[in-house]
Amino acid sequence: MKQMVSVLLLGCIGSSALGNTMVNDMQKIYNQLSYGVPVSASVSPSYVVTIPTEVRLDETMVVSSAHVLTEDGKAVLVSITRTNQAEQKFAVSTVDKELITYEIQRSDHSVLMLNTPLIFEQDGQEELTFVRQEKDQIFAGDYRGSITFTIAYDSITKEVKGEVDK
Amino acid sequence: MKRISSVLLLLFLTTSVLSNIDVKAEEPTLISIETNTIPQPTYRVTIPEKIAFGELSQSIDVVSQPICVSASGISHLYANQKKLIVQVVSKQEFQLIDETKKYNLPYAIYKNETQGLLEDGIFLEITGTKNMDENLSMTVNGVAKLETSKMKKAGVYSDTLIFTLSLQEVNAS
Repeated sequence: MKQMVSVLLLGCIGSSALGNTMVNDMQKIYNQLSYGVPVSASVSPSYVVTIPTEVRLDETMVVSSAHVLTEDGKAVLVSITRTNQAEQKFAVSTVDKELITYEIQRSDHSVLMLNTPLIFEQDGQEELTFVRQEKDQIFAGDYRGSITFTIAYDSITKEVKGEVDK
Repeated sequence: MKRISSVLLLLFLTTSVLSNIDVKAEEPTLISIETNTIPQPTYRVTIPEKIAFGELSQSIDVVSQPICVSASGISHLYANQKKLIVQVVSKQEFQLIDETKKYNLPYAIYKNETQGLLEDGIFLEITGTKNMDENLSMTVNGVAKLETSKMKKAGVYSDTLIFTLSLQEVNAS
């Protein structure tokens, strides 16, 4: 009788050794009165950036970001890092090397510089207008150029923010 | 003849004495057993070791994880007028919080696919009956659900669920 009572009390008070002998990979048996169970989830950084394939001078293109999930202090950085012109000018040219320069204006009419990132911490868009600089008579012809966008996922440093403020 | 009579007398007296000792020794033992026959309640409860939603994706609207809580070997609840209760509370009010403590991600606990957890947090409750008070068992196949549309920031999120086991009076509200 005494031995039986001892077994029953064991069931009430608990024994981790007894519990551990009856566990599988996913579950443990506890006889404690309270037990904390960790709950977890992880969210990986993700984003979709859309850049038009072409734009005409004096027209606007839209660079947009969607499904943006960034870590705290980080963002999606979209920059123009190269042009196909000498000295990295923003310009279009003919095969005869005739040039028309342009500047890129953002939605707030500030000028976007080379290697200056558009910062997306969440879904959004930026309108970029390619404003022709030459107002004088120009030679007729087919003017073309290209620019290279670079998309990065990185920390928003003071330098990055400072470049945007320029 | 006189010697034989002495031996018989000695045997008689010895037997009487031994009989008296037996009777006196058994009586307290019987009384003791009668007063200890209400056994203590017994139970064994199994709870999840962890609840991991894993890597969340925006392509899935709702992520679910099973929460299976089972109680077995439940005996003597009715005899003691007790009920076994398993309650669940969250340390962070059912909000997963990221490492920076700035962003949260709500989730909910359901007892089944549709029935949510009430304010009292009772996830499992069982009591015995007069006729069934031995080796009872009960399993609640609950679920934790998280809507991925609530995701605002990437990171590692966590919370802790506290499972509390208790024996309460049957008449207690």
